[in-house]
Amino acid sequence: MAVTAEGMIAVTPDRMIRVMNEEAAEMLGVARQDFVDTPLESLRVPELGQALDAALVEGAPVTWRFEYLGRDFACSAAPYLDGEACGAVLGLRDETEMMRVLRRSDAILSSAGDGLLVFDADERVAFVNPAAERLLGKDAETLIGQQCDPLSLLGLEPATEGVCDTGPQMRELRIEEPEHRIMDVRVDPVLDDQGVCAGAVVSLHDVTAEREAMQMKNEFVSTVSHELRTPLTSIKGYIDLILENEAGEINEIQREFLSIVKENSDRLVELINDMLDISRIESGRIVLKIQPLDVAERIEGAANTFRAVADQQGRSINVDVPDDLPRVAGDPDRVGQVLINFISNAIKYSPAGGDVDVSASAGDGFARIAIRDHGIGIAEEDQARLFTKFYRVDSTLTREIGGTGLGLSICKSIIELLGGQVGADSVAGEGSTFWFTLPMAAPELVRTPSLEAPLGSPGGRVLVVDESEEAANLIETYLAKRGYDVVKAFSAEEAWDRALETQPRVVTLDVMLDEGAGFELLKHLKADARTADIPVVVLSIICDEGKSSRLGATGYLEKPINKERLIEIVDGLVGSVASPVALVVDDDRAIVDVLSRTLKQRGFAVMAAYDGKEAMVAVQGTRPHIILLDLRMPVMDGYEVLGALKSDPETADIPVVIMSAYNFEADRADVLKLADVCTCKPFDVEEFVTSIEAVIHEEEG
Amino acid sequence: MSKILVVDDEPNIRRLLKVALGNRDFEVVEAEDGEMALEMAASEKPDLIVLDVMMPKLTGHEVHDRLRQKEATKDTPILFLSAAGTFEEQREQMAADPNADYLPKPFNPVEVAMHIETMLDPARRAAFERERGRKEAKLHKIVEIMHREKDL
Repeated sequence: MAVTAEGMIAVTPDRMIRVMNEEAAEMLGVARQDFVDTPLESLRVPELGQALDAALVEGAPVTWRFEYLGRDFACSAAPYLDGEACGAVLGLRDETEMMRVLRRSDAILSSAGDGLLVFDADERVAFVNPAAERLLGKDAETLIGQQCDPLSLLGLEPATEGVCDTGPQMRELRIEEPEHRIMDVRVDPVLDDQGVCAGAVVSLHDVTAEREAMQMKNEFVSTVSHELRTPLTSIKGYIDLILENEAGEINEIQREFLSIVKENSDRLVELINDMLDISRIESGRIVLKIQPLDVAERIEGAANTFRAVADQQGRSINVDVPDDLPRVAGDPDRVGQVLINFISNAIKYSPAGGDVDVSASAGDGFARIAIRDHGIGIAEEDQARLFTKFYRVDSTLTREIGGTGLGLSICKSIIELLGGQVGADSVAGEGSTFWFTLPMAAPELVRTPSLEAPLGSPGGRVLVVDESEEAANLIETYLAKRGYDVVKAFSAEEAWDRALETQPRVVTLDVMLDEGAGFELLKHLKADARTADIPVVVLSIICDEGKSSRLGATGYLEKPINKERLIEIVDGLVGSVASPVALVVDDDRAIVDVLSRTLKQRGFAVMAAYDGKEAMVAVQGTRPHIILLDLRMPVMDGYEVLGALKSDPETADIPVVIMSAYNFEADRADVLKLADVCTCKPFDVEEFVTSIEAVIHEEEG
Repeated sequence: MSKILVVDDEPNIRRLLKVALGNRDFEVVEAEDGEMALEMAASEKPDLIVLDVMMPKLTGHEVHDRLRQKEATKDTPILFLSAAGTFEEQREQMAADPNADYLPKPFNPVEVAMHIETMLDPARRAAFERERGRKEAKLHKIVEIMHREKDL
């Protein structure tokens, strides 16, 4: 006979056993025939009487659980009407096995170190283990039965959909009561054997100690780095003083030895910087400024850093980026850091004279940038571990080259934070290719409007200062084609005379004139009232943009000269100096085009923005003399732009002309009062431009 | 001769700057903590203050804020030297004050001296002021025209 079968006892209103089946007799360990037509109490199982009484009082079926002869039973009593009075049918089930399983799982759940809360299908709390009681500081009794979204119960923002639809959800919970705790919360769906949602289980994992240890580690790293930099400041500083002859002349051997000390203290500084980077990345404190990036521009910038060194070593850095490569999303400084790291490695590991090839390609929502060297290659067993911290391929070459062993690990973390991947492909003896990918810029990323010079050749005189006649002639060719009138000078003295005599609109200056005379000339030009206003573009094979701009240079360009960049910079300078700058903001590109063209024809330098955000970015870059603003735009509308501009003292005085195809909204009238002019579209561009021209003529007169 | 107030709790670092600046004909006065720096800024009236960020008692940033609240030092150029954090972080903190600049530690003392020279270069400051004046005048005229148009 099956153990799971149901026992049954029918009891009359006068509590006599009317029927009892074999199963019931077996469960209770009695002979059936001895008890039929005897009082229920003669069975000596008082719980049966209690179940009967409860059912009679309730007038509805009840379930009564009890233990008898070491086994667990469930008795369900259902009343029935027998003439005037009520009898009952008692169903009897042996639940010993089931209860054993339940007790066991309860014991398991209760002993679990993590807090557990079980929700039923109606989002009602069904079970809370002691760890959860302890972690949350709440009794199971107060929680059980509460009906609530699992995350809301913990005071967290609920998910938009049920956990059975979304799959597991993970959050972090911070509480201060009953004590400070940080927990990883995980909500998993509970599915029954049919795959139907039967509720959810919430687990709480206490990570307070780990987080505190992590924070202590980061504070430690940051403190140690400060403590290390302080003595290093003295070590490096005094060596620099001696090497720069600030403490008198030193002999060559002394110079050589001190240079070794200097190199090694530089390595220590690099190591400290890398350590800080790693700690910042691991603790999530790295701040990324993600914006659309021109890959070609980033690669050129990084490659130029090494051009001078590469030239000396007789190698070249070949850059191959397709013109139509879409822009990627990334942090310019961090992407630059990765490129510099990869290119620097490629140079270090290439034999003398070996070229480095940098290329980029697009595909599948990502751009892939690859840096190839022609060095010794990397054995396969080393390739997988290249990007782990402090891992260095063990060879004589790596020992000679030095480095911290952290660079590639930092690069990997940065690129992964930016949503890309890194990797290396290599065949031993045939060189290596290090590559990384970056996601293409999403259209909603804010574009930085560029300054476009007035139409037609901007014209005007440019003074080109270069020691080499060849270089000067090349620059002359570029600029003359564009319609500039070029004057050349080959020494600082000559340049000074020409600048005074010809009053050029822009000077291009190679600072490598004999013995630093270039920077001296720049200082001179900026110090003299007659030439101080002439913008100077510094051209140099050495990388010293910082010094140039400190000395007053307006533009900076590395040699060898990139023709397009040169023209762009000179045009922009002539345009922005000689012409008023207008910012046109409208989401309708046709209107922007018409306005820009008219304005450029009339001698304005123009910045075009297609929404409010772009406009704000443009204003931060170059302060326009006037802003033409549409009201209805996506992302950030004209009202918001106007409010932002007028509430910032930096931009409050820029005149703003409102252009709108609609009647102005009455309820926004207070904002519109901030504008200088409100015009309904279509308005007369010609008339407006003419009035601005009067200002220009007035100034020139 | 320009007078530079060098504030750092490390005597070695003060001496380092004193040598580099002294070789360039600067007069150097020293303070070893923030409170002393505030007193000397008032009594010595330096042309520029070199300020360490991490110091006991008052930090460099606290000294900066107090100097800016006083009429006599509200525009005095300040060059921070700091061994903590990254260049970007420090530069961002300085962005609000046009008369403050930042260089990281460790530094090359000769470069610091050259940086100070350019910060104090009167011609460069004058050119900057002129340019600002010119732009303001031009803007004023444009606004005038705009108003005229509005009245018509």
